[in-house]
Amino acid sequence: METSVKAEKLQKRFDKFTAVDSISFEVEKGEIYGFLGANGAGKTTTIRMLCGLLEPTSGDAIVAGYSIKKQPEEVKKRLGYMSQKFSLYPILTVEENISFYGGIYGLTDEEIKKRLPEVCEAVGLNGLEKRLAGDMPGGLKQRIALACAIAHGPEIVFLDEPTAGVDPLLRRRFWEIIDSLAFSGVTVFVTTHYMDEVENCHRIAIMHSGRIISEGTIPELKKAAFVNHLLEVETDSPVRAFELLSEAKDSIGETSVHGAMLHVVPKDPATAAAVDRMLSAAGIAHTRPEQVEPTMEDVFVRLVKREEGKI
Amino acid sequence: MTSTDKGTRNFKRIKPVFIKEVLHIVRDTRSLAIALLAPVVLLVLYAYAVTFDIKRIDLGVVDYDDTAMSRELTAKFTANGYFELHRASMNSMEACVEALRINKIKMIIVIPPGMSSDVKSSKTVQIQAIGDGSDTNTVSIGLGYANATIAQFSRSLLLAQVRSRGINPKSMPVIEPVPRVWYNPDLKSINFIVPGLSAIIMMLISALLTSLTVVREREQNTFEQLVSTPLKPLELMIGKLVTYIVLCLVDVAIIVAVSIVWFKVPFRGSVLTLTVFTVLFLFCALGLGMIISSSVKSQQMAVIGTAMGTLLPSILLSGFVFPIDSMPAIIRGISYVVPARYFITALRTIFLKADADIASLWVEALYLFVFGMFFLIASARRFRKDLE
Repeated sequence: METSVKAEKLQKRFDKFTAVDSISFEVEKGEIYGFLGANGAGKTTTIRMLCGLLEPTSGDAIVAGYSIKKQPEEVKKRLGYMSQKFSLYPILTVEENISFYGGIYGLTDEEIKKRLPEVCEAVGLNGLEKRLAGDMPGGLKQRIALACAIAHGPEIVFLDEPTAGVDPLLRRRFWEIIDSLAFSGVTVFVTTHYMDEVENCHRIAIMHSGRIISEGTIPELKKAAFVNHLLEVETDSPVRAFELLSEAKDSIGETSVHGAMLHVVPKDPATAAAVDRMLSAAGIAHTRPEQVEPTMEDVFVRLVKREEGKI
Repeated sequence: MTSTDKGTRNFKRIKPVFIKEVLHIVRDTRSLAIALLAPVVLLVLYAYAVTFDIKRIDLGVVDYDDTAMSRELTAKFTANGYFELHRASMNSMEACVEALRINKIKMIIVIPPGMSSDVKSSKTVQIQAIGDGSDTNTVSIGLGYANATIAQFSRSLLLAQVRSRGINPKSMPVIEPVPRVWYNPDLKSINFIVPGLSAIIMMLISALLTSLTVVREREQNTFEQLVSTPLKPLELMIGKLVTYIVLCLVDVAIIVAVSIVWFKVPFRGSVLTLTVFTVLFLFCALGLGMIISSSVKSQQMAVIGTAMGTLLPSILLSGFVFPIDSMPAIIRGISYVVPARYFITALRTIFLKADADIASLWVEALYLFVFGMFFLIASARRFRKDLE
């Protein structure tokens, strides 16, 4: 497998604040690699370093075969970057925006002419080429920005919170585009704080306070967070049930509330029966505790809590 | 990579920037209006407002003599159009003083009683001229006119006397000055104002346009996007500069055409010299605009910043109105770094003097070149810093 991005002990400090704290990771060619984390976790700083926008304080990364420290210009030629705000020229048409970015990446007029329909096709902008970018709704702006980022046929695209502020249906469509992009061999490096979205990634790194606290495929992350499956119980009085079960934390394990549902992280196989017994004894109506798959949110919360030493 | 290879690569990236800027100018009607109409409107408006040709100064005359001779003298004051007589305040000192106090008139001429008879008995007559010192400029010019008018009147009386005694006045020894003004024989101030004003307007407009284009990139967040591309700050700058130099040259052509056709300012120099100086000056103005744009965050701030940074020094310290030689040494020193100073000198020379060429203006050209390069390099550096 070819490596697209290889970061080694990448660090960025702003005065005394360490935004990114010696992180190392590898991304393979054609992979969709997700950075998941809260705002301020260091995702954007990492992406900006990998794109050559920020110089790392220490450490280095090899992106598309070149060091971001020693040859940032070579790196820049080989990547596409889409920043958080879709940076388009509103007064230029879709086509002119794409041609402009193609041009400053050094494509010739002929190359641009050939590339335009391909790019529009790839992001689903056919028929809108002559419209002004500024007149487009948010979801389409996002696709135009993506089209600009891939105009020159980069090996890697960096997408910084690409779906922020875009409605769910268009987000779905956007991920389909990303999927086909990766399928064609482009490496996609994406940051997000939407838990449901990371399911689209092949591999995920969870960032917290400038560090990667866990990394892997979704099943791997779930395994890292929970040894056993979760137990789910539905009840009429979740608050009372939560208080009751929380008191017994040491014997049955951690409990959390999700609407009318309670999730219990079981200590051992006997926990399901114990929970059932305790709720019945207290006279709280409930369903039978069942084993369920943890969601990404469960995984994220648990890993962050563990990192902070709260578990 | 060979150097020629690198050169073509650079050009390849400048071209799309140029195209993008042209599209922006053409599509953004507001900027286009600022760029093309504002210079003409400003020039026409201010060329009429800023005039040093003082005419029709409001004058009151108190004629205590009231003879044919005193009335003749009064008529002389109004004959050349420099003064306008206020009949309402004639012949009463009190009325004239009141009129002076409430700004109805600027000057009073007092003809003493018995002027006519004193002249006939060869006595010296003193005619008082009173001016309103709160308007120094008008009054000092008005007093000059009054002096000349009275001196001329006195001379004609003298000649009449000499003739009446049978002496040929031509046989008398006289030393006479023969003033002659070159390049602008009628001393029309419009010929002097219009080139200066053109320089000031171009300074404002060109700096404004560039600072707006850079700030707009920042407001749209396209700046950050551009930094992630292989496009170099210098390439972006050159692309923008080329576009705006072309646009500003069009502006200068319009301004020169209006000056010649509308204001009838003679154009005696060469178009080539004008073009060379305009380009040198534009480097300064555009560079300055870029420096300003890198220290402001919004388009409004850019407008205020450029207006403050270009207009005031260009008007006050360029020799446009106030002669630099009469300024205190420190201010004179500051005026050396005002690009408009050199461009105004060059424009006045090119417009009014036939033999204007680059050789005779090499000092101005050198200063403009040095400042232009300085501003461009400084702004390129700030540009790069900005991005990081």
